[in-house]
Amino acid sequence: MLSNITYFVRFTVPSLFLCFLLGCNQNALLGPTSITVIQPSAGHCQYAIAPATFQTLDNMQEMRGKVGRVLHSSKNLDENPEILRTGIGLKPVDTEFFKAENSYVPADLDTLFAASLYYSVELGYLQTKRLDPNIDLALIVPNFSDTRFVHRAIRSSGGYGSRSEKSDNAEYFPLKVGSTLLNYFFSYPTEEVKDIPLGLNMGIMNHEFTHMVFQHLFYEPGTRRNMDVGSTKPTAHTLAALDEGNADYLGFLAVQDPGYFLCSFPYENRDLGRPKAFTTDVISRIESGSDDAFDPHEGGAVWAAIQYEIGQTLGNHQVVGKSLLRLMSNILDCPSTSSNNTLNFNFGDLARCHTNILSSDSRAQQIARQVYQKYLGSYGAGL
Amino acid sequence: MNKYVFLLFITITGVNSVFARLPKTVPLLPPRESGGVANNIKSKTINSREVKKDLMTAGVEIGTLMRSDSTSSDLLGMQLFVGGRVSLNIPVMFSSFYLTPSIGYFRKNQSEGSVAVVQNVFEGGIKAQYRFVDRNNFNWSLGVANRFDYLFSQIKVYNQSSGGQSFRYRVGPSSGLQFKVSNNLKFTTDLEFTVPVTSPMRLFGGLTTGLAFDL
Repeated sequence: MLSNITYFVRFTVPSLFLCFLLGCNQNALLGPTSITVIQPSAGHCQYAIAPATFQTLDNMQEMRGKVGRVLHSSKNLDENPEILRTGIGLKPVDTEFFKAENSYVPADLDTLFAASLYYSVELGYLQTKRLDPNIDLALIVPNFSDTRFVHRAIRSSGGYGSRSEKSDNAEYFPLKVGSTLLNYFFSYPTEEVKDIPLGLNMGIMNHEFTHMVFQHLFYEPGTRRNMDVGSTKPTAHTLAALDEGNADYLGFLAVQDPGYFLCSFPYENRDLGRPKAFTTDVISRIESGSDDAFDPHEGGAVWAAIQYEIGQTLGNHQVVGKSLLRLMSNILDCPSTSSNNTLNFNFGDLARCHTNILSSDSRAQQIARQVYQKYLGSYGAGL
Repeated sequence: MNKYVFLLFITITGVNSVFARLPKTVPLLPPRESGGVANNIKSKTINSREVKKDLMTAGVEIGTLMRSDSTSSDLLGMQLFVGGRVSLNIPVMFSSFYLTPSIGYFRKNQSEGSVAVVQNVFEGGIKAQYRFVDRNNFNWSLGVANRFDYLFSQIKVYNQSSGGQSFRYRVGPSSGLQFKVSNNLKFTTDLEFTVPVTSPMRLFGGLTTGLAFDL
């Protein structure tokens, strides 16, 4: 009897304790990991709660890996700007996973958000690399793995006196600290959205990710080359609208639903599947000198709808996606957009640069030219 | 033979008649309204209460299971699960030491937009407690709580749902208060803090209140 008890205490209890520790330790992970997230499935605003293979995760418990890390701060980041500058005060999201067959399942809402945010950015990273193997953001973006996705970010909007906390939004925020550019993504709290929260809408998070791609394929090289922005054409507004339009289109490519914006904002005019044109009104707002009348999302939505129609007509959205990635960096060198180290262009000039990029595929180039002529309005003259 | 039986019958009847006629100074049953005898009843009640101390009780409590969470909390860094427990309070070895096996269920529902995550905790456990203060109307005990959790989480979006499960063992100090409501009924409040032995380590708290019945 005594020997049985001794055996139990010496061997069985430590073994069980060890099994508990090893079996439930979710920190040490190597290789692809299967985690259940809410993924878009075939059809408009159709979703499946299904395992997704995370390719680049180093630590599941802290949701960090090759493409960055998911963080959280309970403080207002505008009232405490040192948090963003130093990163001190940003903590990993408190996650917990359960097991279901061969997949980990987020046990609570914060964990679901954290996993979904990481997966969205990984999706964008892998999509960019797949579209153009020469564009490996891990090599292009300095400290790429230090990209920070802030879950439930608290920031202020509006001027003094009418300040309120941002909600129902997501944002890419490049922050220059000395010579270092810190890449932040903010997923703001959900307040009014009745459908898919923005942090869980992979199309919207890929829209934001595309802003980072544009930052590092266009703005950063342009800044390094000391490029100027001319004033004879609405270059600054066109750039802002192009940034939004490319983001809308590459967001669609990530989820294959042209109406992914409507899954969070059902009444926004952001469905890529609905044809849009550069009307006189849209052009006048782009060309207005005032920032109050101008909304980059409006012109961007037109540009994205044009790209969607090119892809649909061509039957190949990958070609369009790859050409848009090329366009981001080629703007700096295209004869129609740049001369004498000065950028000076409108959407017609961008269309010329884009059709030149497609010159290796004559059918794609021809379709693009036709679609541009159909929707560019006065910008299409002489295309 | 018959005359001996007859003589025995007469003798017993006669003796009984004599005893029946003797003055009754000590009643066999005290009169209910007698003040003097009430003391005897009172002392008897005290004795019977001391016997009841060792009785097993059954309890029903509702309250919250708290889980520490550094990202979003309902109260003081804790997420609150709502639910309850049923338990037995079993005296062992000596009257101030109790074992309290229980089963419970706690639940937390989080949602944003059309997405919801429902967390379910099915809990079984046992507490070992010692009564440090044991008064007529009140007692306070301290001990150790052991909890085995079966956890089940469900993610929902529109008409889709999917879930995962896990097990957890946690252990920690516990404390209980009992206030007498009536002879067989007590108002109870229990507080405990437990920590799982597995990763991720986090603090759990339990605060439940309810009624316990003598069995």
